[in-house]
Amino acid sequence: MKKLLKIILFIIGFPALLAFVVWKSITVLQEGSTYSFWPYVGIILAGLFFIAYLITFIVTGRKSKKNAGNSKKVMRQVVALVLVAFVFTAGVWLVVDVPLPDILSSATAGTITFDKLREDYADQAERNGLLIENFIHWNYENGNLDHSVSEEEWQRRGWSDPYVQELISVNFKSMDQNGYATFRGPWINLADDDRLTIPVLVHLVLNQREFNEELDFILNYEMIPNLVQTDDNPSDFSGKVELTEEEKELLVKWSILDMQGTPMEIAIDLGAAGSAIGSVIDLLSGSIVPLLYTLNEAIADDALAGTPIYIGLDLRDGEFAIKINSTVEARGMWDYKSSAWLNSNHLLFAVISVFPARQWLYIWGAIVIFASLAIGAIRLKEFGGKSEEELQAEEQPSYAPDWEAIDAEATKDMSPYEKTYYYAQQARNRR
Amino acid sequence: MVKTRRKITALRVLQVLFYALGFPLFVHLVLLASSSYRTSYFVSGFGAWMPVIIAAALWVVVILAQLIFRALCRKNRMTRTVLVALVAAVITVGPICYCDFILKNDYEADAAAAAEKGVSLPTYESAITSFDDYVSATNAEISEFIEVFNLETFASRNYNKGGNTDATLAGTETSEPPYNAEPYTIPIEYDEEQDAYLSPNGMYVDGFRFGYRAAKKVLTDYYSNKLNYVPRDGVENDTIDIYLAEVLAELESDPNSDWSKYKRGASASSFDMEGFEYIYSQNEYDNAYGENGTANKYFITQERLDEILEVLGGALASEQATIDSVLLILGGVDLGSTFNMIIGLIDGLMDSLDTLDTDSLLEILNGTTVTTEDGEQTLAELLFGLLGMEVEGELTWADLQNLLASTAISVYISPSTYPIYYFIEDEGLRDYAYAKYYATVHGAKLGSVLVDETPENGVEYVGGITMSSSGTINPYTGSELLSLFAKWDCDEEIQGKYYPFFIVRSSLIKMSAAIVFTLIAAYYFTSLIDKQYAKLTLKAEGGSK
Repeated sequence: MKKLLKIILFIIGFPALLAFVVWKSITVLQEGSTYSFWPYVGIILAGLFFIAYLITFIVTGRKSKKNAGNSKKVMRQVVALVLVAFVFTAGVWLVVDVPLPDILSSATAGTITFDKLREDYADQAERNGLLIENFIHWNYENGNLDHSVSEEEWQRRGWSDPYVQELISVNFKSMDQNGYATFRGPWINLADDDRLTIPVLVHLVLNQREFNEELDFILNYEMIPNLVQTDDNPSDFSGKVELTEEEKELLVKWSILDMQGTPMEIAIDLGAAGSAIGSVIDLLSGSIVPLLYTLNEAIADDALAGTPIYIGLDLRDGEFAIKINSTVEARGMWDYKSSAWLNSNHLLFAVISVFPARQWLYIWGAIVIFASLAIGAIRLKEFGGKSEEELQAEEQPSYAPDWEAIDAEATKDMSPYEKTYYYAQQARNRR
Repeated sequence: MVKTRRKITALRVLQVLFYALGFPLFVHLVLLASSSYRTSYFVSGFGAWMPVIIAAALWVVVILAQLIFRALCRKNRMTRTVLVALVAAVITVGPICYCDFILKNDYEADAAAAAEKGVSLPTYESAITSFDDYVSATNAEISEFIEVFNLETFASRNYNKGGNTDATLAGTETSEPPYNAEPYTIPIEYDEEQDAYLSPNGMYVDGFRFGYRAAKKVLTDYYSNKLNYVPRDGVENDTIDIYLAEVLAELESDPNSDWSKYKRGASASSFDMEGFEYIYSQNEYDNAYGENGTANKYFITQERLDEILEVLGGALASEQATIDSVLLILGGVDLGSTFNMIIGLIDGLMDSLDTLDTDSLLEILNGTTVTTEDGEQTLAELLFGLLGMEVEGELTWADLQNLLASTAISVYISPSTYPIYYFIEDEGLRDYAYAKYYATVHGAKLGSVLVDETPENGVEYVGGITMSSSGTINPYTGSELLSLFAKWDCDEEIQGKYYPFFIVRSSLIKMSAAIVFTLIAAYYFTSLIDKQYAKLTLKAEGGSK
């Protein structure tokens, strides 16, 4: 019975905790399914803690048995088991939690915060899963990924395919060194911090920058943007053209819009003139589109931005907006921050996977400690021998004087008066 | 024996419990009472913990007294208890008396001085009870100020990635001139009083986002000079802005002005300013703004604009036929003044696309007229009118530069050179000039506009004016801001000087008697414990039970 109870207590302790960690890690495992062992880091960590606990559990069990009868030594094993249970559940995190927020913040340049991951790790895992999913989709669309294999197959292979890893690494290096690193002064930081003012934009576009001519960028097709989006033709791209070998060798530069990723939309309220302009543009779209292409090419000139920016018109839903798109999607890339994440996505999945483990090591730690104590109590009962109080009680004489017999012997020849006096005296004495 | 031990345990619990109900509880109560104080914008670091530190210091004094009396009165427990109780009573009642008899007078004197500045402080009796409410109220006011001007936080921030824009590296080590040789470093100095990062020329660094203190200084310099400006005799509708424009124009035009001397690198001794010194060298202005100057890469020079126009002209020339056909159709539709201007501009450009540069652009802007609601206007007049500005006579490159500078699109003051404002003699006007630059141009760059000089229908938009936001309606007038600053300055002084004591006092009022009583009780239980131990000792020596 005691053995069964111990087994039950053991199971509701660390093994149950491990099961919770696995259960709560399912989203992370699914989203990072192509990232080898990295999304399993949290489970591996919890598993290692479990092994440490299991070893302690076995060793303390054997020592308790070996020291049967010596309550002090058995008690020491109980203390050791409870202590290890605490250290490998909440204890280690109480210490790690002190430097962890700063480490995480500096490792991700403040883009992923400890508070975000602490409880919302599943959402972060989904975001990071989307990074590789869309990356593969865009690169399949722009011809960077071989079309002899289906997109579904590329999605299944994901990061585990060496070519995908190379594509991410080479193209991000270009975006980083010929993009983010080329911006001088505070301007890019201001834009990143929702302070993209007109002067900041002008500085970012016109300031002189230096580029690394040696850096490669993998791109096989040029996606042709759809510069006049209407309800009938809402797509972002109107086609693609295969690049010549010479064109593939050209230096790829990145603009501030590429760093931001999101298109800039300037909605114009035309009031009464709205319908007139809409119909005029519709009428002239055959002329306006080549004009916009020419303008965009001029912007890509080194004298201006030095990199393409797609200026187009958005006439969908009866609105009129000037839309300025970046090239990232056409080039199969995310914005800078997301691309940086994607480049280190395996490490990020490792970090994210630690958080479900952390959460449940904290929560279930109390149960593990309780279960360890309960198991210890059973062991103490089994192998601890007698307690100090029991031993003390044993120190007392095993018999008490038979006062009744003594009194009978003493009073057998006494008169009733003498007997009464004797018993009163004895009672007083014994009191 | 077991019974005695149980008694000792029970007494031990009571001893610890009563001790904990004294000073430890008092320190804890001060910790709780000061939680609001710690959130005050005006206290940080060590200062934020001052009430707790004072409370802990009182406790430490009593502990030291306990140790001393323990050494002095080894045998007489009662004497020791009485002495410790006396010290505890003095230590707890003393600060209350200090507050009510000494600090109160100081506080009332400060309140009277504040009243002279137009700031009404709460009475002493109100302050010692409702300090939490006053801290919260001031915090709420400052939070609104921070939000309106898009400061984000009370503390400032330096967005510079490395150094200023024209420095390839930043650091504490300064490279030797010439600065055209890259990479070079410029030092950035932190000014604690303003909570600001300064360039070698004494101005805020390029990426400096105002914190509370810097924003307050800029707005104070701006409004105090603007509102107190006395119009000059004989100058009609005189304002400080007119005066400033005149002084700046004079500095620019007078070849003997210090600004002119500075630009041409005259010897420091020839300056009218007393004790003038170049930041680095006599060539520093030329190094920054001369040919291939370090600052030239970061604003639109005429050469840069020529380059841009040439590319755009070439591109448009290749599509001349298309543009002509588009213009033909658009010419027949009235699309409003903005579109009329754009169409008029393109129409004007079509004849000189192959030779498009700054001069030809200016010719087109001055020479092309369009019909608007206000009648015939040149493109230049229409463009400036749309931006709420006026152009007198023909538009020149200088006007265009001013336009770009006023909208903060293209103005770059090299961190290695003095700005023209540095050479303004009148101190008040100089402060105003700097403040105006920071509040409008620097603020516009950073998305923290402090002053809107061209309000629309009297509505000022300030704060985060960015590509995606039109900013916040300014709820303050200049004089309101100056009053608020005066109040906040007083609040800051009062909070730092008095509130820690008020917080300690509020807890001591409730706890002083309890502290003395619990301390005595703890001593009493200690003596009982000792007695029980004595019994245990007797048995160990073989005595009867």
